[in-house]
Amino acid sequence: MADTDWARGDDWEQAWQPLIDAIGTDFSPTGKSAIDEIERGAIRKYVEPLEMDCPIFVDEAVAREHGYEGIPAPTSGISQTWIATDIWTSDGGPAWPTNDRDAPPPRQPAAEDALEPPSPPTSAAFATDIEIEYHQDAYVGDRLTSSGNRLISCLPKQTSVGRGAFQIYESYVHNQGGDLIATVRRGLYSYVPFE
Amino acid sequence: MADWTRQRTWDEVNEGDELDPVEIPITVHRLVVEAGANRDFAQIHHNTEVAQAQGAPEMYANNVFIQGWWERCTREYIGLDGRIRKVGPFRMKIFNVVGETSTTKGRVTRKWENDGDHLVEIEMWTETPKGVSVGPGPVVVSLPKA
Repeated sequence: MADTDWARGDDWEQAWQPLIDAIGTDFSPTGKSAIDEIERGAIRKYVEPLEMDCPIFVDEAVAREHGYEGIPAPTSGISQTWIATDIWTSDGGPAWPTNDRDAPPPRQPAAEDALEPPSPPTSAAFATDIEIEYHQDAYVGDRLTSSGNRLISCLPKQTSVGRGAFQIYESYVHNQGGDLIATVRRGLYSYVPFE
Repeated sequence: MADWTRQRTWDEVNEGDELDPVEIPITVHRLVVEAGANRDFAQIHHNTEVAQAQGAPEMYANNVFIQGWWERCTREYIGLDGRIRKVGPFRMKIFNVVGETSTTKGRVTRKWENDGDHLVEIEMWTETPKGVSVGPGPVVVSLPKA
């Protein structure tokens, strides 16, 4: 029986009950720091595909003139870009061990204390919802840490692409001084696609 | 191009004011550039076959890129002295796929004072040729009073 056979039965929603029962659980209380400090060049590259020409992201004097402590990181990258971890390390083995054209990318390593949420196996997922409260700005030179992965909600649902569940998780982003930069609520839909 | 010498104030903002739309033509090259920049390397965002195997019509923009559209649209309205305080909740409803143009729009829905802050709520959403793809959802900003 394939791991994803739960999605075929009439009672497929029952497969999500263990995760529903875990609502309120924090699956990663300690968290993990970004591999890099926020770099000036990374911000310049970030704004390129957006064609966002706001000068505070490239000109420190302008940023300070308008009340910033340096060049701020674009707020839209706080849930991914500025907390990104490595995808390859010299002691972690090959990240791309095959030449299979569509081989999945290596998974970013989880925090040491991270627990796997008790959800049924799925083969696809995408982000669905975003809610972010910004408490302070993050700046060039900051090294951020993302902690927390608290399950807020879980709703099994069949959609046009498959059977799965909408889930919302809450996490927190701090800088190296321990200041809370942002509270992030991310929703995702993980599912088994229709064949 | 936005005029960054212009600073909008809280006093001059009115409910119903509309933000200048931001149009993002989505090409494969643009998706590859943004994946490298924002570090979301999920294949659904740069590989047609993988995206289609997972039920999407084509490769599509990731959520950080979409947040960036909303940030750009917001910053072009609030100027250099404005601050973004909160985004969302908003839902990404349909895929913003390669080969289409996604347009982000906004409208002021509320303005109020709180503990010395002069706040404005903007209702924001993104449209594709197939309809509203993201939102609508709130963006809360602060502005200088005058």
